[in-house]
Amino acid sequence: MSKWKEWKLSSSLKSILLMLILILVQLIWFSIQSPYFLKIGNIVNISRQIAEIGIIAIPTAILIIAGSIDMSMASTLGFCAMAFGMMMNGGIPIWAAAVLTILVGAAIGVFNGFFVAVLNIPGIVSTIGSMVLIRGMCYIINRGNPVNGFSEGFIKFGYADVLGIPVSFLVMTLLFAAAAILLQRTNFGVKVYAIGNNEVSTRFCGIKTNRFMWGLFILNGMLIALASIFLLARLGSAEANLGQNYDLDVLASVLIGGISILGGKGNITGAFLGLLVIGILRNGLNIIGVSVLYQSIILGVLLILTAAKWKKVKD
Amino acid sequence: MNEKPILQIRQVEKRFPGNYVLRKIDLDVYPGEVLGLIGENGAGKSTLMKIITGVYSLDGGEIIFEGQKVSFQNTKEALASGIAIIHQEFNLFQNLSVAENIFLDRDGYHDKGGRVDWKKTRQEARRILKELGAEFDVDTQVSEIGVREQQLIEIAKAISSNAKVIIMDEPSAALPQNEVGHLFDVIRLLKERGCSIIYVSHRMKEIEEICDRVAVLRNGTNVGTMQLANTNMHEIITLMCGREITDYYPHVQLEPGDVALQVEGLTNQYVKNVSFRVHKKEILGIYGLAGSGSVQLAECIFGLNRFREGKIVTVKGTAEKHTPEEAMSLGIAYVPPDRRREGIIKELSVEKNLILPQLRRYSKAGFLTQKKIKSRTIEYMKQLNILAVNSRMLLDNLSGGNQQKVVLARWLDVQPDVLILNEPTRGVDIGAKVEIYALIDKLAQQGLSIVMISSEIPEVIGMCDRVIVMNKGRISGTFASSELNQEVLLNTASVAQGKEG
Repeated sequence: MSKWKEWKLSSSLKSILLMLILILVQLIWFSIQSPYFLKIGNIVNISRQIAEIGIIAIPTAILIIAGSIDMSMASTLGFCAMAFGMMMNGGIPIWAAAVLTILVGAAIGVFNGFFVAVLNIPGIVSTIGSMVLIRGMCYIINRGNPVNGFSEGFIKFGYADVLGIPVSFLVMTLLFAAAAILLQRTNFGVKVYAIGNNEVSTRFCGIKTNRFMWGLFILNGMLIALASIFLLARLGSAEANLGQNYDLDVLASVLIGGISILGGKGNITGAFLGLLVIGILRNGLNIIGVSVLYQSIILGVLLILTAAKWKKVKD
Repeated sequence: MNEKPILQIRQVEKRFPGNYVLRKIDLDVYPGEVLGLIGENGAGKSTLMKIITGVYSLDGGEIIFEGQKVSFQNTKEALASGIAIIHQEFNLFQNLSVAENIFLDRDGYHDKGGRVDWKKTRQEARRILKELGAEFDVDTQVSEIGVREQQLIEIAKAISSNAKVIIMDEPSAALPQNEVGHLFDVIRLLKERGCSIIYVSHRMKEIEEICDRVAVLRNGTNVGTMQLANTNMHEIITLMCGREITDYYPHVQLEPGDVALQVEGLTNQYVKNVSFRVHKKEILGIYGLAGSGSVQLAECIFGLNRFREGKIVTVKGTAEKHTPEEAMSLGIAYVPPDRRREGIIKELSVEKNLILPQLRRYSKAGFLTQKKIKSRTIEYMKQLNILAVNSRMLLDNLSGGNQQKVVLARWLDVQPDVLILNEPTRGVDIGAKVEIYALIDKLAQQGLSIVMISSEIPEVIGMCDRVIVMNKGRISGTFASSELNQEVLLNTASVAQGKEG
């Protein structure tokens, strides 16, 4: 009788436990450091701050599991926010501008997906190009000027809540739940993992992998556009460099959350916990007065430590 | 043998969390011999080789090399001491030259600053390759030379560091059948130089031809080491499987039914004007050497490759769009030759590997019908004797033979009329092989048409009712099973063709 190889312990369970411990340690440490940290006001603050990052982290996680990546997310976020603001200032009703903004996001997804799906260029290469390109467009569309002066109603929307929970955070949480169900229980999820694991085998099973990847990029663009709407409502102003560094936090959440940069492995629950780790860390460091520069260093160290998990197995 | 063994393995044990992989293995290797090492998948062959070369540490016992106890930290250390391993997949840098690959990072071929001594590197490379009878230039880039030449480079790497024991893991797996003979010439040459070879292989014919002695592993124990002269293949295989295998090729030819697949004048850059028919209940073999176009032909039929001219017709219609989806709807299924790259998805469960071509059938409004999937998977696991803890087990944790059965189950579940099997038993151990042959025979009896592409001559002769031989993209001969023998196949597959080449 031939035997199967050693059955691996679920590594995803381990990484989820690890993150829960990390979150707990952070909560205890920061609440000792600052009496303000655990106040309701601050917790609401954290939830509002991580909402946009979280909404982008969802399609980013899906793209990475499927074996690709969108490096242009921060530029897309900025561009969509500017486009949204300009449309509103141009007199388009808020809801119509919001719908149009999501279409703008979809269009960017079509553009990015084209290179990956039709020309077979790796996402990491082509989207670095569009990252620069779209950022350039951010400067051009309003000649480098910030977009602001929105109606009071819109700004109120930015701080709207249901039973004290920010709307943006609710939307993000719902999207995470939807994504978790989608990845675990549907055809869509099977395809995402299959392509990320072995694109050739998946294609040999009659699945149109290129078309599917294109679809993922469009979804990605639309969700980034949605995030940009919440971001603009919260900030009340969009500058051409808006969104810069958001990609770092998004990628950090996803990677700390145990999703392999090589594709095919990881789950959305991990990304959600990763998001909490990053969100609490950022907020806590801000409250105890650590400068943004040092925050980068701490974040970098954390990322490298998580990266160690993916070190090549000696074989 | 009166000589002292050069390599002694004494009571070696290895545990992975949970179970023993090797139990008290004893094995001696004598200078200048070729020792065959066989065993089914999961018997512990590769673990043992990894322990010898320092990839794994051992949990018990000792390894004695040239009279001294050794414990290498990695393969580089092992190589420096004189034990080399040549893997099934070569460790070569495709974009470096032959000479660079042989002496890369070797002491004595660069100075302290890391500057390479090019003259010495080239000269030595040339000398060694000449000894091995190689004809290619040492400045050629590796990506430009063939598999056999690449294997020679691996061997050159080993002997250039004075390896006294060379472990070859499935060395013929990557080679076209007609080049295995060249490999054996090189092995004989190495023997003359006093080098010992550990020849790990599934292929009994090769073991019989080249080995002096053979060691059989089963479930992590050495169940017997014997002189090949004193035994026969039947005995060895029985020992390896732990049971007697009487009937390799159970296939009985049936009266063929109606035409199930008709291919007419298929032409693209790889295949030229290929026409054939397959009937119900028939097993049609396609035999060809590497580069004959048989793989591309199969990919054309399954819609993975485009073709300029020609027609593919089944009972269900004519191919128009040439996509795998359409091929499936025409009743065609395809089991590709490279299981790891084209077949399985190793990080997905047995269940999900099974349903992949038919996601729509196994879902309602996009949601997977979990119960149906599970019960169907378990059904196939029983039917094909797939050994897995449960239906959620990842494919990566299954042995090669069981992985192949999952791929077969996947395509049987599509309920095709025509099943194209491309190298269905490559890298599969004998036990699983025989099971697969029995399954193929059963399927033909149930009325399926089977196209079996294979480069293993015994399998082609043993299983097929009719065989098409391909050469340079064309059909160079068609034979009924009664006309078949090894010579006919090889000759037809390698005849030089007219002016076009």
